[in-house]
Amino acid sequence: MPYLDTSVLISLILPKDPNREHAERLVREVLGSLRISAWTLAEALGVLSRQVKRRSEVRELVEEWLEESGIPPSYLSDLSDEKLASEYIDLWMVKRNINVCNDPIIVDTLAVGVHDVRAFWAIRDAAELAARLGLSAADAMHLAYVWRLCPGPFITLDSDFTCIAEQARSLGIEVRGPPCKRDP
Amino acid sequence: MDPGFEAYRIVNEISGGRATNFRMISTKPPLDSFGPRVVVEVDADAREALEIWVRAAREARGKGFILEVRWTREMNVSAEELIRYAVRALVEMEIPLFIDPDFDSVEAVREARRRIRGEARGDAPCHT
Repeated sequence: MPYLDTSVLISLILPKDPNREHAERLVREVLGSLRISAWTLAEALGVLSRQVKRRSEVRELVEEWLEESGIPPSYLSDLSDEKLASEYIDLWMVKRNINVCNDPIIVDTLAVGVHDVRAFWAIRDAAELAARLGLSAADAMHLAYVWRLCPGPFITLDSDFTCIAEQARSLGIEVRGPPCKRDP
Repeated sequence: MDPGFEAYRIVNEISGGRATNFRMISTKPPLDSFGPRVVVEVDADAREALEIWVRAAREARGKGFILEVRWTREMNVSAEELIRYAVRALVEMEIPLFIDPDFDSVEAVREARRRIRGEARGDAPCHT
């Protein structure tokens, strides 16, 4: 089943995003229900909450609705940007039938030299992929999910990922996205 | 079609004829790109009215107004539930969480990833 990079998820959530059409096309080309991970959610929540903080018009509209419905002002102050973003993502995922590839929370060992470090499975795999593919740990986390936990094509709008598609393929990971823009 | 009458029609149809009246509230930029707010009152309790809102919001999407409902009877939902209904209505109407014409999802995610390293927007790296 296909796994969405954070840029794809955000682009699908926001109707006016300039990459929306491209994201919809990439998603249409793959079969199966779409999946994300806790890591996708963490990144998306960070980006969207930050934007809501900057551009608060819609948040103010929601506050106005709530106030007019008799919600006490003390409660409104608890409606944080991240709570609003979190509710929005959750309800949007339900509507679009997006599933979460759950981390099995299995603690494994990450071999570092002669030492074994206790690490969650996804982090252990991300460490291995970061080293083998020359990725940042944050990027490697996504590929770790599709490598062994939830196999399926990795759908991205970020050409940084398609630039390493060949190496990823050698590990059995299929990366789909825009052409690599880096100079050969 | 007039946004007020269209909103009233949608809610009245979905509620089985229980819409009682409506009023319009103008919106300021950038929300005005979605049109005015139309508040339709329904002869129902809060929970029923909010369920009607979510269904009607789906119908109202892209029709040039922001639909809201009010109720005439008992307020029987918690603040938490009310927030969830409001966000569901936003999602159904495809009103995004924020309006920023310059927002680009790919750049925003890249920037967030760079921020981890303190490279974005000239943020100074954290030194101890």
